Amino acid sequence: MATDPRHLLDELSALRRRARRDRHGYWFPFLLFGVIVAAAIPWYLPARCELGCSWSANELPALWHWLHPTGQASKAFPSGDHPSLWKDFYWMAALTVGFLATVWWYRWRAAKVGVETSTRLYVQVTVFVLAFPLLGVPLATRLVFSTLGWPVALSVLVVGVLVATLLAKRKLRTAVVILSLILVAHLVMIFPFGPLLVVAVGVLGLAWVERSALCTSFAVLFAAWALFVNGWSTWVYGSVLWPWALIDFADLLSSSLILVLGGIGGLIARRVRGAVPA
Amino acid sequence: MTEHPTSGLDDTVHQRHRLGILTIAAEVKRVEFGYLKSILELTAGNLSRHVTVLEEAGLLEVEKGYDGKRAKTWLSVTAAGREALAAEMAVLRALLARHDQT
Repeated sequence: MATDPRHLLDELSALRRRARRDRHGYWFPFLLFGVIVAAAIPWYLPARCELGCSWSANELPALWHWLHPTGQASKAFPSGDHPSLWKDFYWMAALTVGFLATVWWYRWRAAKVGVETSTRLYVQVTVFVLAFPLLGVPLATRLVFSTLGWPVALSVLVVGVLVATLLAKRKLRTAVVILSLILVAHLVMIFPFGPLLVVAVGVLGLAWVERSALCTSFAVLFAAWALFVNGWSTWVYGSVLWPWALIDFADLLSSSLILVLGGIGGLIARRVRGAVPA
Repeated sequence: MTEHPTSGLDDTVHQRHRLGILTIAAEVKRVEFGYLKSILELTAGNLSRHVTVLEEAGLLEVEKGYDGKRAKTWLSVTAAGREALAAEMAVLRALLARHDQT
């Protein structure tokens, strides 16, 4: 038994590292969401109207005007691409299944290993960016933003979140996180690859609870890439001569690859560290 | 004259195995009794005594349940436990700093 404070502190640090290493399980959600993103590629294959075919958004089912978390509502379709409700359904179902599977995975793993990672933060941020674009954003847009106008409504929203945070005696950073999540929820609906932002928020939440340098690196890389591909496809598409389908394919495949590499990296790290005594 | 850091030591926490239990419990949401037993290399009886001391001091919460037919005991650190652990670590670091100065 160590009685010297230095040895005792070293021993406790080793125990903390060991517990942290044993509870790490981020490789599974990274691989899972990598597969989910890759499996979305077929939904982005060109399904165009015949030349000269025209369509109007008014012909689409009423549900489409509400449920469009894939940015199709604001995307221009100059090349004749017909928006697809199935693409929205795919993302909503896949992201929900991915979310539930991740929570289940951490619980299952806790029962197996003996140490449990808290998924509360992951659940909170993911549910927010999953549900808010479907319910909060359309309602807020129709009831508040359309009535008051954007400048006033935005100020009311920011002040409201700040006051609510202070009343709940939470730190200012909580208000910053909530406002950032509201912004992401809005972007989810207007960016062509909005669902990637939902995945990005989820993996960033996991990185926070996992406290792993490798997990954080891949989560930040994925979030930056998700923002880039969304910005790229929103503002640069029009000036590029490559076929849209090819760019969509490359955007999704590269995003999937980052997640899969993060998952494989996590698996390798787990095996390597497992071989080295704490 | 400044107080010696040892005056800040808490008898309940200042015990190697109890510190180990609190350190692991503070790192995770919940830790299972069997995991602690194996990591800390303690007998079930010994670990159980330490857990009881920490639970009675309000530093740990004990939750008994089943995984299939197997009984499992899960432990989680309380807010008071986190504070006690942080205070103990601060005292140990202060002791170390004082030792290094002399």
